[in-house]
Amino acid sequence: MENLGAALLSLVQDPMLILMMIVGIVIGIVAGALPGLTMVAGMLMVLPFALQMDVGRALLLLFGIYIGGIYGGSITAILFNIPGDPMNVCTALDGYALNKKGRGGFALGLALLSSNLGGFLSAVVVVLAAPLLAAVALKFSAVEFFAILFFGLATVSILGTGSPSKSLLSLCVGLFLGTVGVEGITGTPRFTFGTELLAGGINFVPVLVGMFAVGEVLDMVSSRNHDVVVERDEAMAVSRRARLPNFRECWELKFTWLRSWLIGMFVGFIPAAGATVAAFLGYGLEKQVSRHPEEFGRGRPEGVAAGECANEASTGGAMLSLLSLGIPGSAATAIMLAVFMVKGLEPGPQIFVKMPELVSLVFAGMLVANILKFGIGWLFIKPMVRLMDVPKPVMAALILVLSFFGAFTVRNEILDVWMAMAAGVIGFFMRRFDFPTAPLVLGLILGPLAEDKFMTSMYSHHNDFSVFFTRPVSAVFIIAGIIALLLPVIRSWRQGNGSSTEGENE
Amino acid sequence: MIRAKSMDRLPARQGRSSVLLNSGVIANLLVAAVAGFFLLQCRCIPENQPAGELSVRVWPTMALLGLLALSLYNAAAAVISASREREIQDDQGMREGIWTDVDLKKLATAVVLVLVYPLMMETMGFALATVVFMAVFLWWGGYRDPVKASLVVVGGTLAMLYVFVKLVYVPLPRGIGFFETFTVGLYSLLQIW
Repeated sequence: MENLGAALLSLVQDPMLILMMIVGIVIGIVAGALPGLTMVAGMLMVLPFALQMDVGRALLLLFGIYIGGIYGGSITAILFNIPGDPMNVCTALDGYALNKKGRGGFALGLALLSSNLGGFLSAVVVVLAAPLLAAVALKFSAVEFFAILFFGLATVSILGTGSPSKSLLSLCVGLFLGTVGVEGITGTPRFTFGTELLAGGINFVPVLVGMFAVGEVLDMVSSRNHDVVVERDEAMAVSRRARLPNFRECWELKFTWLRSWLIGMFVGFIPAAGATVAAFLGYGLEKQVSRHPEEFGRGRPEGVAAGECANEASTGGAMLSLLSLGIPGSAATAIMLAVFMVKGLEPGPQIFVKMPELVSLVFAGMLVANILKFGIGWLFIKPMVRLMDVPKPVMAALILVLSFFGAFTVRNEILDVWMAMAAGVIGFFMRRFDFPTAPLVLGLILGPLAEDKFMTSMYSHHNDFSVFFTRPVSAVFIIAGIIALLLPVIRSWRQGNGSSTEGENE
Repeated sequence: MIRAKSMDRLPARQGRSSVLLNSGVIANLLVAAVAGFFLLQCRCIPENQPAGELSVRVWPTMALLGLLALSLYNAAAAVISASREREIQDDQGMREGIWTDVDLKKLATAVVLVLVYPLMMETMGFALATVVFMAVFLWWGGYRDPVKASLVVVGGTLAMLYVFVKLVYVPLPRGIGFFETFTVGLYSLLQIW
């Protein structure tokens, strides 16, 4: 806490740190709001700049984009029924309906307030819980770490929005790609085909850049014109009427915010889940507990509050997982992990011991950035209407060129650019065939780490697999992981049984 | 007036699995073949581990076996859903595909441009390659106002050169032969090198 006070003071005294956060939030809001440009793509666009900065500034810049990007899409979702990011789809359902009922100004204010509540409260939890979790994690051996990683990887199958088998397949591709190169413990080359280039392995940053930025551009430029025409004047008028909810309206939403915040935090903490899953779970729960579930999608304020609060709360959960365990909970935190790694640092419990100042600075930044976002978000409601006019080809060309930098500046190797471009093409086809790309990247990032912990566990326990079940923490995570893997199978078996019973009854 | 993608597109994208039938099966079988190939390659990995310890082949083998099993499962699932959905499509008298919202010509051109850009970069250097790439991309994308396009292309390239070469010292590709001389000359002219 002393460190946090000092970090807050240094943050306030260093205008560059504040500037980084403001710039990050603005870029995030714009990237999140513009259709075709996601928050992750926004982060990847600034990655080459971030890699050249001091690690503290870089992390605050990226965190600003992270929280700004999750909120940004809600503005266009409410005004135009165009969610800038998938995580704002729930907001569009009720936000746009509220707008059509003449309550667009209220919906805009409600989205901003809900987003900030979720983000700020989750940042507070990170500040309080991360040191405790890191202290516990310091006592973990390779066995416990492997169990946690196994659980994180297994949840990919149930928390993704698509088919579980396709998510797992994508994950296996990532796990396999993570084995290319010289193996860490024995120094054995694997799948290098005798080339020097592959000996260093496949760096995840170019793959991340390709899958998320280049793939998105290909999607954007090759889609047929399904555009709709939106009246800008009407949207401007609504944006001018933006207002925050009054006390009574806030009081009515207190339990909605509480539930959504808890869900968001929890989902964010689990690797591979992320803000979209948090928003859908938060929205779904609110619909289930509501006395008027039939009115969801027709303009219920709870719908806007739940989606926005849950998706922003997931940022805290993801940061908690990254900082205290060294495991990225989302694509956004994977980019932050890249910054740590390029700078020669390894997030996780050790960083609390080795670099407490950096951790405190990130904590202080998370609190301050969430406060700054409120003001910037309010100011950006009106300009967002005008920004919707940015021509698609200009945006696409700039993303591609900046993607080049994102891939190139990691090692100053043109091979990484080739890899990013190729990953972009593969990512595009994966999306078309409904294979999610996030599990692949997750497998590539966490795979080598999981293998290292698995092999170390085996070496130190004489290849005795039962060690994963005889230690309590490990047993809990391994069993939870196995259940997560089996859930889709059980679900489809029960559905099959249910339908056959129905058939018999008929 | 603002032109933008509508949310109404989202359900159409979800419902496209009905059209994927054959391509879905082929894609999964291709993945299975690749997994099989690398499983064979696993046997070529030298085993340097101490006696009695797990082989370094274990982890990749597990990943590849998972990949093989899942791709075969997905291929089988695609075949089953294909036969079911064909009946539905016959009833409805319509066929909709995953490619219906994709302009294949645009896609092919975009893929070529994306893959040619790094190649141009190696031979022509970053500055010239980026100017050419952005100009072609904007023109092809329908952004053809010469003044605005020139501003975006030249302004964007110069800004990136200034930031990455002058401020953060990134050794951007300078090209080969004549192009290298040109890039060095340009850097000197801009006083960034």
